[in-house]
Amino acid sequence: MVSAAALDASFAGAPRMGTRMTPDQFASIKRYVGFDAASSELLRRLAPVAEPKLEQIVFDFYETIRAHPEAAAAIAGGAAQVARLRLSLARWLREVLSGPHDANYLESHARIGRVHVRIDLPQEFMFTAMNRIRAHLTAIVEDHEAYDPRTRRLMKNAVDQVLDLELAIMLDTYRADLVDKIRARERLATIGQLAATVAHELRNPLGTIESSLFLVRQRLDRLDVTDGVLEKHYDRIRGQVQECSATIQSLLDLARERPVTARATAACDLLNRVVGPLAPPAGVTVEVDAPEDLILEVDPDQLAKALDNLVRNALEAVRDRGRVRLAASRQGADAVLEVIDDGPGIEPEARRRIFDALFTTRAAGTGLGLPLARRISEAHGGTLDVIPSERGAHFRMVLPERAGPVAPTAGATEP
Amino acid sequence: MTLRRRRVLLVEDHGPLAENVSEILAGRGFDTVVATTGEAALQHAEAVDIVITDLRLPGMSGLQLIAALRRRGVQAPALLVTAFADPGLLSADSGGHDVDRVLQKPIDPETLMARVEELVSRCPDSNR
Repeated sequence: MVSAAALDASFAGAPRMGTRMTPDQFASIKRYVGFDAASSELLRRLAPVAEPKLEQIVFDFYETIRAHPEAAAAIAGGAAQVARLRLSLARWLREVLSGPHDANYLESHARIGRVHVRIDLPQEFMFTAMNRIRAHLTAIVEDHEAYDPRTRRLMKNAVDQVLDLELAIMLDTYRADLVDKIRARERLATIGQLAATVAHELRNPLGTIESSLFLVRQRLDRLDVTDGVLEKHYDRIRGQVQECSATIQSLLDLARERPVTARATAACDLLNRVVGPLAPPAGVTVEVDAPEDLILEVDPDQLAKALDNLVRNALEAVRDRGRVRLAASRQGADAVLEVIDDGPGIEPEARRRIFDALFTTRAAGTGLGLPLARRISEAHGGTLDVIPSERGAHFRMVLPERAGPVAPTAGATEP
Repeated sequence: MTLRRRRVLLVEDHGPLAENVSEILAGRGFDTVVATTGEAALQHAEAVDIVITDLRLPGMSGLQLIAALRRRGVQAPALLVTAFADPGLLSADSGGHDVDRVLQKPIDPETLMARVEELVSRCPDSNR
């Protein structure tokens, strides 16, 4: 495991750990590779010439990846995912050529680096993939008879420059996202350790209070004392001690990173298990929407814990009146689990930090529920994100194929 | 023949808790010897009917203590108490270790007494 500190050190020349390339930095890299308005213009001229060949380039690109086991492993979603990726690659190629190569371009192309982190694509494949595209575009320039030798040279130069820019954006985003991911993980681990220590230290005093209460009870019974006020306070102390014990238990749950023990689990059973123990107020409806034949290959205990955290947040958001919906569906090769409420929603500023451990917008929240839910999702090879929505909050967990429906052939491995 | 009071070796470094547990045990007819470390416990291991020890102790751990007791031939049943909710450890309950039972802190006094009575009755003369 690479530590964030080691990673920071290995990028000693890059001061922006965990932050994205700014438009100013983008402009500076453009100057460095010599990319200017003239380069943009040359690429715009190349765009219509390349257009009829884009489909072939895209096809060839993914055939090459499919032929390479290690690269193909990053594309776990099978044919459906490849079809989606083909579309995005074609769109990307059109944008690379047509521009405009401005701040919006930077933002939209940075997302591609993020996707690569998400699917754990080995970094070296970005270079080889980019070279593949470079070879194709260079061939198009060379084969186009209408270009004179000078235009051809300038155009090939512009292709080189723009693809260098792309690599710079991609690697920068890749690095920033990886650093964020590692930092979040380390932060959670540190908090978990602290939580475990605190929890451990509190258990002895709590045990003492509890056993003292036991002895008080014995004494009262022996002396035959019945007193309403004493009883009330006895029960109150006992209830509060039990509440403390429950909090400690959840802290210890967070501290312990458990391995995923996956087994075939019906999505509707999982969602109903989460909803079952809830007691929402009369004005709140909690709906479960899951196809009966959707089977997930997941650790049901851990996933129920993650969903429980999301649903409890949703219930708290809608308060006395509203709607909370838990949905499971299959999207392509992925299984998607969603928790949606129609409460006040999440402020954009909070949305950025909501998965940071100890971040909370609630007076009584610990700020541990969402990072724990995300960690569980990631342990399953999936993602958990908050989706911008018009109204309320929308959390979306995407679990990749191995956590998705078990195919009949794969089912043969089940005992 | 007079009925002998049963003897518990209680190893717990949190003083107030040790006092309370001793008091609860006394109410059920047990004499308790309290040790705050595993090393001290080894000095008092003669003629005990049951050992109750915390897992985390200054110096040797509860598990190390129980292993040391077994090496010295002390066969009294051992109840390990832990604030750590380690499922692996809790499953030690089913055997395979020198530990006979694992209880999670905070201990419910009724549960503790039930376990103690169960273990003592299982091995009535374990160490005499």
